[in-house]
Amino acid sequence: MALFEQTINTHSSFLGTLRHSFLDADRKSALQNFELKGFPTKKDEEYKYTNIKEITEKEYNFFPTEEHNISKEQLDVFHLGEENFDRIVFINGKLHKEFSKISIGNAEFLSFGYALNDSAHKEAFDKYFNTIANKDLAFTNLNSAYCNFGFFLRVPKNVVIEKPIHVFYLSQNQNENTFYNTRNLLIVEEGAKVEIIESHHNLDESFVLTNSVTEIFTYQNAKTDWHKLQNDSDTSYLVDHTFAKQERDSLTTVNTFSFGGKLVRNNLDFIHNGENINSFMNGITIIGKDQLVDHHTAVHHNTPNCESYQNYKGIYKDKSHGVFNGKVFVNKIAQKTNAYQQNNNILLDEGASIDTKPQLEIFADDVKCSHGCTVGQLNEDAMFYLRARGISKKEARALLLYAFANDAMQNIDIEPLKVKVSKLLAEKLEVQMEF
Amino acid sequence: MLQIKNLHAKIEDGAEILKGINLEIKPGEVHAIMGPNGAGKSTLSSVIAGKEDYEVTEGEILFEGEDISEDAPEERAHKGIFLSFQYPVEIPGVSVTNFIKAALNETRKANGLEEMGAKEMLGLIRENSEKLGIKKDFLSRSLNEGFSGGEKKRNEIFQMMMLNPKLAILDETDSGLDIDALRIVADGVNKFRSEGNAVLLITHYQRLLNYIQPDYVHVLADGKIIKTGDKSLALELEEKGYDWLLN
Repeated sequence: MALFEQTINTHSSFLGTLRHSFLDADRKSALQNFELKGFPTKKDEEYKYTNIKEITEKEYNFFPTEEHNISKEQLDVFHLGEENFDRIVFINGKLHKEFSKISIGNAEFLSFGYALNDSAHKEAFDKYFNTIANKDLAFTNLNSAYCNFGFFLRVPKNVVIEKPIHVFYLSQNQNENTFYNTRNLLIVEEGAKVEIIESHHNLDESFVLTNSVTEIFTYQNAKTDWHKLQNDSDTSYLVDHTFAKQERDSLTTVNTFSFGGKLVRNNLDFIHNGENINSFMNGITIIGKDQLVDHHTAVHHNTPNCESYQNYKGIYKDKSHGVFNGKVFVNKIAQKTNAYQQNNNILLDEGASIDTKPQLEIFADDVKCSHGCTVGQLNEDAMFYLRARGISKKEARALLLYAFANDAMQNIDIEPLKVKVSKLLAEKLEVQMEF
Repeated sequence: MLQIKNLHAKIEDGAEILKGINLEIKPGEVHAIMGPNGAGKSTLSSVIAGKEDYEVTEGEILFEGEDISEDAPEERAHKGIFLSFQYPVEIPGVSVTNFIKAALNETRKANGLEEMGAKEMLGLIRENSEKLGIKKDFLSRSLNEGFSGGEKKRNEIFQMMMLNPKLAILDETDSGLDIDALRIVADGVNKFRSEGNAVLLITHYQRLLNYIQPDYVHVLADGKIIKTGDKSLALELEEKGYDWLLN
């Protein structure tokens, strides 16, 4: 049975496993919406360059085995080398408090499952849950129908959470292919500040499909930074939809570092709902083999005097394939919009390819919108410069690629994360050097 | 140290640029190569350093008696050849310090030496940067990114002093420098000079030679050395231009 049939057939038994029922009607209607159109195919404009057939033709277990044998040492490997970061660890779809560390006291930080089952949070769910997630999309509907873990965080007014919170999603000890629907809800109230790091890790040989939906609400004068560290195994699929709604004078950044996974599809929607908003989207992709990473971004400039910056760098080896589709919508009342979009790519091998497509729809007349995309190889003069200093061809190449990608790292203010990203870059470029 | 015999070189699939160069540089010597635009000066320096865009069609380049014309650029660097670039490349995100560390340690490794320890490296960096009046914050900046012309050239000389090559080729190191920067750069080169090493200056103008006194001046025109003399030749060229030699 392929995934589509499985999702239809499994739903009633899935609902039976839940301890809450107030979302059942929404879940059922989400599944109906999904069923109507099914999974997107290459005929769908949004999936023209990304064939998800290899994901959907597989069969998955919807109820992962809870038992695991991950040791603390094994987990430490995934840390950023900064022990005092707060972290929340999910293994096989369950929160593991013994591995987690939460030192913040003045914010509501719960596992999504707990928040769902505690009536005290019903009001927040009614107000926020599934309000900005696009209900026309197959994967978001599927997530709404099946989501049962993830995290819920509300940072109250004027609370500044100094340390980043690293959220781990691990899968281990699964004999069959496994399907996870993670769901995150982040509410950053007026004047508050928070920084999240998200990573997914499949530790088995069998396949994992993670279908993740995140809704972020950033209120007036608040600041949200979300870093997605994607360096999963060759038997991992990730489909991510992140929706960020911003109120006036707020700042939201989503950085996506894609270094692994068999097929990764990132969808990022920024929705502006006030003036003087700043939105930043940065991405570094470096993949090889037959990996595919697809970035779809959309910024909805609905209000005047707002700015958005997109900077995506891609390095493709072997037979890997990259996709970038960046949409900018400027509403006719969104005067004085400043929207910047850049996508630069380097193809290192003949079999590697990139499809890049900027898409601007501008209905206001007093705006500044720029976009650019490039596809190229390394600059030979620069290579000669480095080699003439005694640096070998391989290392010289790595240095230049690092320099190329570096531009998209400017917004990271967490030093250990910067170091980690640099290390991963060196690892992917097969060199042992510090940049 | 460097012997160039009847060197012919062309751009890959292109025209011949060097048409039979003969040049011998001994330890302790400073040679200057002057000549009009398009004479092949920069090509000569690139060919000695091993740029792959050029093909040696005839003749040989011997360094310490060994033919290096098949060596990769990094192998030549490891043997002690340094080229200071006319247009140094900007490498965002890689600091001057980290870059020089990588370059120096690669060279040491290639010569069977252990990597230099952090403390020793820092000491050497401090010593050389002080000689060139380089400020500390300069060393943590991204390599050549946003550097002024003078800063780029000073950085090239700093790298030369750090790597301590046997043969330093300075390609148009004086271009784009104001008089103060020129003096600092020349001062660096003079401090570098020793009995054991040699310097090849490629320059369009005589100006630099007021500060770095060459033992020999060669005039390169249309891919050949057409005249060799001492430093007075440079002054003569400054006065008369190149036309009297070309006809």
